[in-house]
Amino acid sequence: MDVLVNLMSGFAIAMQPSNLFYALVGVFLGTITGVLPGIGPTAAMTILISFTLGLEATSSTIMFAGIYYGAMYGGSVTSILLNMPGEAASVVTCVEGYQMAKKGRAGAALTMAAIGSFVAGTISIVGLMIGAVFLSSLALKFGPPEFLALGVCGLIMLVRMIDAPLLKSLIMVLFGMAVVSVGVDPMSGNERFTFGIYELGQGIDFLPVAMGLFGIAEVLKVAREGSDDHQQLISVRMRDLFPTREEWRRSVAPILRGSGLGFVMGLIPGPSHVISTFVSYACEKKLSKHPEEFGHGAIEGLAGPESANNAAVGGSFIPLMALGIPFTTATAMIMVSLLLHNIVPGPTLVRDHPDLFWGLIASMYVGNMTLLVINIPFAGILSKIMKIPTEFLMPVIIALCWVGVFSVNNSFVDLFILALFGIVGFFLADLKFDPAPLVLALVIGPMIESSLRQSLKMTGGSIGEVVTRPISLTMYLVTALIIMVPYLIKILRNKRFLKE
Amino acid sequence: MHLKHKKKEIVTAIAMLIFSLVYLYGGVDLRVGTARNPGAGFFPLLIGLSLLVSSCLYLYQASRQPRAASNEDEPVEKLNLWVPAGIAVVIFVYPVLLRYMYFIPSTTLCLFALFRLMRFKGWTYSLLAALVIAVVIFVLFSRLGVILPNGAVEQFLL
Repeated sequence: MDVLVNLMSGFAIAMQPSNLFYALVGVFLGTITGVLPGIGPTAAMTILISFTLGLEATSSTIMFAGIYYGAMYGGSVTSILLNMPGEAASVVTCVEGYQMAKKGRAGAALTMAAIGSFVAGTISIVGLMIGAVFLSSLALKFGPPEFLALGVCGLIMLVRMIDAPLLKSLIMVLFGMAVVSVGVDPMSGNERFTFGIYELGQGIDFLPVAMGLFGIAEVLKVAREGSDDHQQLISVRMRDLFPTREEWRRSVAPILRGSGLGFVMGLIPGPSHVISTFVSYACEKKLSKHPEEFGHGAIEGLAGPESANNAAVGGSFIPLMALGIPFTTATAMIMVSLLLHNIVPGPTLVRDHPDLFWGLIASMYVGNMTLLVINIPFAGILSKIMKIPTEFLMPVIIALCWVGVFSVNNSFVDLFILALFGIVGFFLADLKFDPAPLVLALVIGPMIESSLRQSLKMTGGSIGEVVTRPISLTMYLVTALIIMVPYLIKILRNKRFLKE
Repeated sequence: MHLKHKKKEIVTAIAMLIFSLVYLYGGVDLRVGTARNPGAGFFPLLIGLSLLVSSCLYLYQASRQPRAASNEDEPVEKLNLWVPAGIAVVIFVYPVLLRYMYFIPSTTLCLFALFRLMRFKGWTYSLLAALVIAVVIFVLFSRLGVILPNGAVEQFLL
């Protein structure tokens, strides 16, 4: 009952004309940016964060969440119309969506992607409401050893889950931890690695690093490879927007399955929205009555993964809101957006800032509705945005990155850091170094350090006591189990094969 | 310029190794403390040593990489590195220009350089586009409450 009352008050906040406006603008900007080839949701969020900085905390978070949703949907548009995935989570959409588009069903594909995203988003928001409140009340019992375990296990799982060599991901985590140690030590007040530079005393901010790695590095890659002007853009007609009765019938179950699957996977650290799309695709192919259609425009192969993708967004908000730990780069960006307004997400967020929490939840419903209302009729117009030449777009993106970075601390040193990490990201991308572990280490590194030091002080230096506290030990064991399971399955399969 | 993959990996590993050594050296003056009372240098020491070991392992792996894995036998595309190099120079120079020339002139100049590097239309068009974008960004973000470096030109617009 409390949840309903709080949700109603959240809607009262979200439906204020100004907040409604910011949600619409966020979804619109996010969709436009997400439509641009090569710009995924994370890059879109790093580029657009500067638009939210001048707003007050609740409005800023509402707008930024809208940007996130919009960018996720925008990536689907390029996948379906151009066979160009904006990011890894849209690869599966390319496989089926583009094939549907080639058969003249582009409009139906876009509509089903939007509807699947809406249903999944709505279901995951319900899960977020209940899960975040429950988990945050549980997390109030956590102490430094438990937060240490959360941070360490989260990073270990992330490193294991992403599609990059293990050693390279580990190096990126350590590199991120090294970067975050620059500045004043919060516990002793000593300056560390500042080399006498005054601005470095404040530490290296997350935003210049993230914008460099995701924004500038992407521009440098595009500049090296050149733009492809020969892509065939499939046009969308209004009258073809609606799926047939048969397509509706075949999509209902995949959407519901994708929603549940995506939400649960969203709780796992790492590229959960990417993994959820592949798992959903495999699941739908297995369960489909028409498996031969997969790869040639099967609507189940589009509806399920698109739903899973969006449901994972809601799931990924739970660790952020309830524990203050972002497990994905996108939620790390949202955390930074909150921190810039002096709001610390975590167990006390629901208690201390209920207006922000419930306003955000309600605005996510509004954002989902907006996606549906704006994006289906405007799909054809959105597709025209892809015709903007990259030679014009890339410099504009750089300019937005400059403004975004400078606006945080008014620091010229931040602009140098932006440039440096842009170049670092450009070189490392070729060698299969994924920037996600570095970015997440930047965000949760300070928490891990302070939790470790506090835990050791609490236990008189006994690391055994830190690790074997009940909740911490459970987390370490569950993490170890999740990591070991694939190897155990492999060993068992080999044994069975040898027996046969 | 063609860089072989294996050499790139080795160069990167050496760079990481140097970084970890510099990082460890930078933390020498920090108090490490004890396990019971860790100091400011405790965590950096842990991270620095872990990074050193990981970099050594990476260097070892990279140097043992077989030739076939470095794609030597596959046709190597001629990559255009001059444009990204030029962009890198512009983004490094921008903070210096911004400090002394304020927002609109420095942003216009740098955007113009970027448009020319990306071969966007002609010289006049690029200059006009750079100027318009710089002004639009300045006005838009000033309205959003962002404070950008401003001189006489910017004050006139405000």
